[in-house]
Amino acid sequence: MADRITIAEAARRAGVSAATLRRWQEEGIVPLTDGEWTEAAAAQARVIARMRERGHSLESLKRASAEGRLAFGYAEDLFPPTEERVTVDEAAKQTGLEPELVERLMRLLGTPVLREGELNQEDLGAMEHCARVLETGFPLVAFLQLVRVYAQSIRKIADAEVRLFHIYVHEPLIQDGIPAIEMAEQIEGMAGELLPIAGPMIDYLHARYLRFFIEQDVVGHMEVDLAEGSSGRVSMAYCFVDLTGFTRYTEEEGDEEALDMIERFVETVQATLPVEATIVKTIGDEVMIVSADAATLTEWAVGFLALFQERPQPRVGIHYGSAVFRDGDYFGGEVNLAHRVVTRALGGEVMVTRDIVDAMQDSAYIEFHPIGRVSLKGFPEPISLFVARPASPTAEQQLVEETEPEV
Amino acid sequence: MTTAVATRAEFEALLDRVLSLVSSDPEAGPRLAAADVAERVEIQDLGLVLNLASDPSTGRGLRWEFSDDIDWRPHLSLAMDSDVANRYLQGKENFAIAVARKRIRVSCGDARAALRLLPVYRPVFERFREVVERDYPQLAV
Repeated sequence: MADRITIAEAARRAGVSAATLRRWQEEGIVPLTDGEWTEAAAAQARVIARMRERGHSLESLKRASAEGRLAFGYAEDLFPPTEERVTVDEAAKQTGLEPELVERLMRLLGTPVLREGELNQEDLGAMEHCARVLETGFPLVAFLQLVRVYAQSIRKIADAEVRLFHIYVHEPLIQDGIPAIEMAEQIEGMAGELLPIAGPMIDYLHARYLRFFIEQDVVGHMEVDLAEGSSGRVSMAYCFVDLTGFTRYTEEEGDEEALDMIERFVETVQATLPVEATIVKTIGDEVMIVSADAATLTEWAVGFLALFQERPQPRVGIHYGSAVFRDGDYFGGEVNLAHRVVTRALGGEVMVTRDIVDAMQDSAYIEFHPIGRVSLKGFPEPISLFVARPASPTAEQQLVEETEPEV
Repeated sequence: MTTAVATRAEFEALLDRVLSLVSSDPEAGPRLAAADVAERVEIQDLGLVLNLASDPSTGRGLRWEFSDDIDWRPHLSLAMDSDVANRYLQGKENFAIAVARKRIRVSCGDARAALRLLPVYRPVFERFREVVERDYPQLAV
């Protein structure tokens, strides 16, 4: 049974007068269960009030409400904001941070409260966490980058949670013609159980990845980075992988099949990468990888492409150089060069620069075939490029293979 | 060619045990079956052939034969020596690098087969390590 509330309470929650609520009720814009106001109905009214402010007509809102399209608004009640607020100056005084730093941190966190010049109690709590981190002596320049990475990553997670809930839960309920209030209550029930799981899941993954990267650092794969760390630059191998013919594949197979292909492709890259290599980001069918070890990354690429003997075939571009590490990403001309190199590769090819060839001069496993000096967009001088392939067997190896008895 | 890490009978028994565990695992079995990839693995120095595929009778596990006498066609074929197989299945040999170094030879007629199979292979490594630690400690790497 839904919790009943008075119309006065519903009006307070929706931010409109009781008379407005009665009119919306009479016109069927906010459907009630047995004529009673409930938390779900008040949540619907709040969403309608907000949509009215955005210029939507009562007629269009009536249709949307009847179809249950506003029902997800109820889930907002799972995260009620605290009402007590403080000014930026008060927050600065309480945390010991400069007011300008409070404003900067809030902007980085992507919290739009600064329009009102105030912070709520949750915002204030976040500023207290920030102050404690800085009190430990962690450099501000690094902390600001971390805050930006946290905010961008969590924003992406929350966006995905809401979008996926919408596609796989809300839309099917609408298609099934579930009454609006019943739908809002169902959504609230499921969201109420699911969303609190996100926090522990994120804690678990954070601890797991932190362990992994600490281990990587300790075992010495980042020596070069540490030497250059003070300048914020790192020397790494930058690798871009994408699928050739993917546009045509999408046209022929459809969006869903193409999306499945991308997901499996990225999962396969992740599942086969050497431990010291890391996926930095994925953009559509393109994956950016970095590794301190150019040789194993190139060997991985050559072996990985051997799995794809039919379209859509991946192609790879790799370059080794120095770049700026900021906000969890790598920037600079050397990264841009690696990105340009992949565009010159054909499907099934690993294209590399001379820096990779020089780093693998003694490789017994990979050989490099020069394709000449190639003009690349944005680079004034042509760049020498090479195709990396498994090394041909030596005459001695061939003799052993030919004379080896069959088992 | 390197020295075999086990006899053919030992390695066959080890693989049979691991596949039984993986196939009956309530999470790993269905995930591997859902990949719907038929795979042929040849352990060259032991003359051992393993063919495995989804089990159509249950749809939730695997079926396998230690021969080529099968009524299905593999999508993905791997060939390697027993020392490479032992290291690979314990998660100590990177698959793609082993391919580049020609320690594993791969033939894949359907790129989508590799994409379906490789991401769900981790439980096989975990079970293989468990069985090695418990019953074949001499194979631990």
